[in-house]
Amino acid sequence: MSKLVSKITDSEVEVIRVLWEAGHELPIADIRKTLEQTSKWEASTIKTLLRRLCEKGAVLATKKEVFYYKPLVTETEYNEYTTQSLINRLYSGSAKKLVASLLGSKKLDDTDIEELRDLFKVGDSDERDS
Amino acid sequence: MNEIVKLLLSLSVSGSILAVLIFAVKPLIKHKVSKSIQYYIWIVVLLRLTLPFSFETSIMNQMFYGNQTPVVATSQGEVQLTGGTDKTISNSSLLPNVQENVANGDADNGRYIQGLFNQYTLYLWLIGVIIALTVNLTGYARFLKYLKQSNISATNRENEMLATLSNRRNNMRLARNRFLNTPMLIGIIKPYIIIPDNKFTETQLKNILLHEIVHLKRFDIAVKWLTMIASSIHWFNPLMYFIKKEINNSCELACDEAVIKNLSPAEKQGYGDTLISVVAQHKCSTQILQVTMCEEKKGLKERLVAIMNHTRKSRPIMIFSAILLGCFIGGAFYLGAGIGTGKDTTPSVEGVDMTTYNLTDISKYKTPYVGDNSKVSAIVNRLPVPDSYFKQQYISMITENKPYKLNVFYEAKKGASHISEWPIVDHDNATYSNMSKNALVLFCMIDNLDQVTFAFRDSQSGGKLDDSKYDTAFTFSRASTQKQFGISAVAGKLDLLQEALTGDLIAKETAIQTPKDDQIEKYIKIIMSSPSTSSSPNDYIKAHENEYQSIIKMGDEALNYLLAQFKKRSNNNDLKGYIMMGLCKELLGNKNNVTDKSLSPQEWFLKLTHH
Repeated sequence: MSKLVSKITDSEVEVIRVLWEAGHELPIADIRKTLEQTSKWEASTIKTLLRRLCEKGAVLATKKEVFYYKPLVTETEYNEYTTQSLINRLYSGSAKKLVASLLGSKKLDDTDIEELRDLFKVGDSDERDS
Repeated sequence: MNEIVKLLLSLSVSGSILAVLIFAVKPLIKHKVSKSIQYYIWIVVLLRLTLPFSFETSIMNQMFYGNQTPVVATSQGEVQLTGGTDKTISNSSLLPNVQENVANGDADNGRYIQGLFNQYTLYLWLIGVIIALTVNLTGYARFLKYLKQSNISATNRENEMLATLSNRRNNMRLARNRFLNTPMLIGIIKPYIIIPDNKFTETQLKNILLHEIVHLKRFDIAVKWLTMIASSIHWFNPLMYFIKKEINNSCELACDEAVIKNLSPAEKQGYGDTLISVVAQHKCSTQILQVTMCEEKKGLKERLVAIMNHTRKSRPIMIFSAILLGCFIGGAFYLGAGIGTGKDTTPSVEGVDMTTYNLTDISKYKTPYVGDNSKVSAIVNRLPVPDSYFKQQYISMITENKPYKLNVFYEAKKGASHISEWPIVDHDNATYSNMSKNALVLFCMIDNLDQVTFAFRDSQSGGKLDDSKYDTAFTFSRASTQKQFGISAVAGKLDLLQEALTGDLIAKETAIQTPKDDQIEKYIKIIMSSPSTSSSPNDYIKAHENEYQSIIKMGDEALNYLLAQFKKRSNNNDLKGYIMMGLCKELLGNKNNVTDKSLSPQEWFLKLTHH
């Protein structure tokens, strides 16, 4: 899910926010009506943004008499993700220097972890002089 | 150089030397010496980088202040003169570019650039420090803010475990946070441990908490803050990046070591496994920069290897470690910092005794030219300061056109306080009369010097000469000074000069005579103004009989001034010379023993002084 959310741009969030607030699927006319109050976007711009959201899989378009749009990402999911990425960014920025963490921020992939697991075997002989 | 800049550079150099030494011995000690000792050695470097304390005899202080102390006037003449000291003296005074000195051209140019550099370095550095601190602190503050919003309290089981492990001593708090990838200890004053909101086994939790408790007990957070401050202060030092990384690495290694110190091999295995599994919980899903990932892996690998290879250190190794740590602490003290000498550049002269001119010493620097930078500074350095409040800092010369001028700048000493009023305006004080003596010595020692100004400021210059800051100035001309002391041709006659300085030869009226001198000059100018068609000086005199008589009426004062003018001017065989000769002859009356009328003014004056 986070992969999906990371691709949503700020403008697209404005559009999907209308869907979140409505709480049910909306046709493009309704979306435009709401957005007209807050932005000066043309109908074509909104259309493009919606198309991109659909392509990314964040919004589902269903054809009835007109197209109805339904968000596939919840607002909570989105907020979680932004907080997460913000905290990660802040942590690897400057906060890391000022906290004592068990490990660094960067994650390793499966092969790396496997390699480390294979490597790490504490011998029984504690007397070995290094 | 500005003292703060010097201090900074010395701290940076000092710390860097230590760091380079550690990097050099690291391959040898890495696996032998305890990780804690290696960590402590890095803390020594950190302290050296941040604490501006040092012995005055430390290497850095010698380097930044050592060769700067000028040789100053003392009553004893044991000042040994070598080329070396001579050079030192000329380096000690910053000369503004008004001075035209071909021989020292390069040096002057260097000084000029250095002056510019000094002017802006401090600000440049400050901006860097402020930016670095702001970025770090705001980042940290925001991080804290977002963490606090999303923290959830830990379970009772976890809190209980923490209390047991820390022996219920520390008032530590524990929280869980779903946004965190790794357990951490945060905060200096009210530290708390935050763990990721994942399921941990009993062993894992225990190992994690043990690690963080050790961090807390060893004040590692404080060290991290100190590291941040040091790297902000030394942002201009590229080595700082490596030092920072090394400190963080050795901090973790030392922490691991402390945790596993008393663990059985099986427990050690468990501890290492915990490290790996915490990493594994947040497997890399998105494509993060490969480089940093490798680094992370390397770091973790190093820690795991260190845990595997951990052994109880033998006694010789422990003794060696202690000695090594001692060496680095000693080295840190020995390297020191450029804190300046307590004595400052001039030794304090308490209860000024202005009779302490060491003329024999000073006369070694006697020079015909005011442009002789090194000799002039040497003489100035040997002049007593007016009182213990001031020190002499800069000199400047005007050598392009006559009158040749020398400006000597005095400034307040560090920590000294001026007792009398400021600025000094009247001439009826000790400072003024002392300066007139200094002027006399300068006129006797520098043959072509026409005018000397002693400028004072009630503050410190901070490494740069700024004329406008000097709000008290005494100017002496050759003529007035020589007249005041009643000696005119003492050049070369030290006993006479000594007498003038120590005896009561100082004329009673300390008021400067320049108004009269100016008057004489003005009259001579009027006399010379017409008739321009004539070539006979007598015609000029006749045309301005009133002015001529006015000068004659001034009597001895006019005579002294005119004779001084004769001496000062290189060629007197001009109209002015003839007029002056006429005036002098009349003023001298029958005291004039050179009556040969065919002599030119120059010849006449030379003969007169010979008799």
